[in-house]
Amino acid sequence: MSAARTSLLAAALAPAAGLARAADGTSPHAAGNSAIAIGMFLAFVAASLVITWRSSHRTKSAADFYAAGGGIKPLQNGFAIAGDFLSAAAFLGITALVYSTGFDGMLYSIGFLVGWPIVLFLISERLRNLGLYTFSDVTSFRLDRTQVRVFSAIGSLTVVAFYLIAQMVGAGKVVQLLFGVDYTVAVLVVGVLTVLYVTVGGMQATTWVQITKAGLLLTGGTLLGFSVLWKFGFSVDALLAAAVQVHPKGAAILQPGGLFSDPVSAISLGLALMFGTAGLPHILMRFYTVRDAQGARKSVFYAGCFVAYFCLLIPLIGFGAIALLMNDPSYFTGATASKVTGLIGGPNMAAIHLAGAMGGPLFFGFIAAVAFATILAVVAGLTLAAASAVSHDLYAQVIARGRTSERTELAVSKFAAVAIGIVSALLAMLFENQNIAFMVGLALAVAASCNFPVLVTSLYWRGMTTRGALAGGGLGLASSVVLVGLSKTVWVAVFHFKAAIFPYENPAIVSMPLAFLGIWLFSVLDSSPRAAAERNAFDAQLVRAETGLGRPAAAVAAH
Amino acid sequence: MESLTETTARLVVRNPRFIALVRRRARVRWGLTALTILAFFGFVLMIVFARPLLATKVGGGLAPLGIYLATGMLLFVVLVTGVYVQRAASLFGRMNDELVEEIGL
Repeated sequence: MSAARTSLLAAALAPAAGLARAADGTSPHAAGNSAIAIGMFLAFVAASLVITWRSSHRTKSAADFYAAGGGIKPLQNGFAIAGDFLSAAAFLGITALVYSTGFDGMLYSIGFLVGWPIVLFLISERLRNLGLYTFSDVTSFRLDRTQVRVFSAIGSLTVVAFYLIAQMVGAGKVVQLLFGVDYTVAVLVVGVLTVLYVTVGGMQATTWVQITKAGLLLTGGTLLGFSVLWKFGFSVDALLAAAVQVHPKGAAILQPGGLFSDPVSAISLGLALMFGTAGLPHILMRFYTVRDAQGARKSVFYAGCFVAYFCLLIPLIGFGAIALLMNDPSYFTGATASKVTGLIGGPNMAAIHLAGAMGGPLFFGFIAAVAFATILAVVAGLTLAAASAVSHDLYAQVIARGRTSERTELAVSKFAAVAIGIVSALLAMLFENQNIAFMVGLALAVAASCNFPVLVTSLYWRGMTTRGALAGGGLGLASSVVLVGLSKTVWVAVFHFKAAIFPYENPAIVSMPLAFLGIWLFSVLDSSPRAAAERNAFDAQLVRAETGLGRPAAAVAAH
Repeated sequence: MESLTETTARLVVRNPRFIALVRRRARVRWGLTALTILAFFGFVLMIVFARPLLATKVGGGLAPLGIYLATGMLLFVVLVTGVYVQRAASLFGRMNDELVEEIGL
């Protein structure tokens, strides 16, 4: 039971986990069709470079670079946020989960979606009104500028780093599988392209690459979903009947399986999924690209609609893959291969094989190119978020203490983006054959137990002080990292110890309350004059957070 | 626009329109947050403790209750976000405009 859960989590959260096993055999379907796939991918790259080049003329100020000058429309931003969120893990990984386990895969997609209302209700408006470019702007609004900013930047960078490495390794594996190119080459291509988008075109280019990719992904998903429905005469019942008939687990795929089988693990994973979204720096950053708080609200709503729509497509694609692929031996590694893990390229290839089955080489190539575009866009968003944490938070506000020029800050951010690109590509090569399944889980756990508690209490609790933020956030960060280290995904899978010391895979049920407790306790005990001043400053923060009054105009009217 | 001085902030904070706006918004905000948390964790706990119930066939088709509820959760998320955005745009937007007009900033 527990082993099943491990691989579920791994497959859902990191495409690399499932693909690592699969990369030794390139699919004959993939090899035969890779020319079309590469052609389509090159078309996407060409389009993205045109976008980047055009954006470069409009990326002059810091506001342009970090926030596209606040000139993105809510609908466009909704597309871009959905794009940031619908990574290859969501598309290939969750489809693979539905393919392998049926109903449990659907639960995962729900888990991915329930974070949106929380982001909308609690975070988006106030974040937009208080900050300029990063979420550290908000946490350090009335608290100690230097300490809290450094701490928030560390929280951001930790989350982004683990996410980024997982995406890069996943990218290498997917590309290797889809296009038959070498892993190193694939990683380098991803690294060079994303650094180019970010340094040349900043947020403007990153946003439009994200929008383009989201459009392609939604189109591809729609085509796949509808072709499955069409095949079964638009009867979901006929589709489910066909899937139940061929799946080794039979009718059990329509019912809850191993996921959420014991209450503690279920709640812990649920907490990380629900509140982790509200602590992802690359998502939070997107709320600054629109004109005002109303734009931020609308963009979350649109993004939620797109993601929900995609979550409705995923079961169609997953059950469709079961019904249409499992009976055809040509999609499997051998006649006796398992109907689940024996799929050529592993279960993560389910959506892509299904495209080949439904629409031949052309559709296969299109979906493969979409998968690669997805990775590129997500990596670009993450790189920009990391570069901003370095240049805006660490360099401009802390090292230069706000006395730097915009030009220097921009130069630092571009330099940081290049450095981050190089480091993440190197790490991706280092981790090529490592089990990195824990990384995305860890990123979400840190987001839910460090970034989210600090952000939400600084927004809503007058009594919060710097000491509370550092102690509580620090507790959340340390406990989530340590507990993941002691859990099965690292202690057993990476360090090869016999049994895990921490029995649950996700630490959120311990680390999140610990963070809130720490924030409360150390704030309440803080009777320093600084703490008093920080509590006093809450009124000014509240007025600006609720009304938007007093937000510097420079960040709004760049165009 | 200069950043708000503490004195101005203190005035705005005592303004009845501001207090009403903050209260109304807080009620909607925390109410919907609680509803979302209850719905999601209620569903999660149903999966843990009420498996046979979720496996019950409903409506004559193959899909059991669990699949309907899972699809319902997706629609629920869209619905609550939609409700909030609508409330914020109409009611809170108007209250905010009236407030800004009154204090003349």
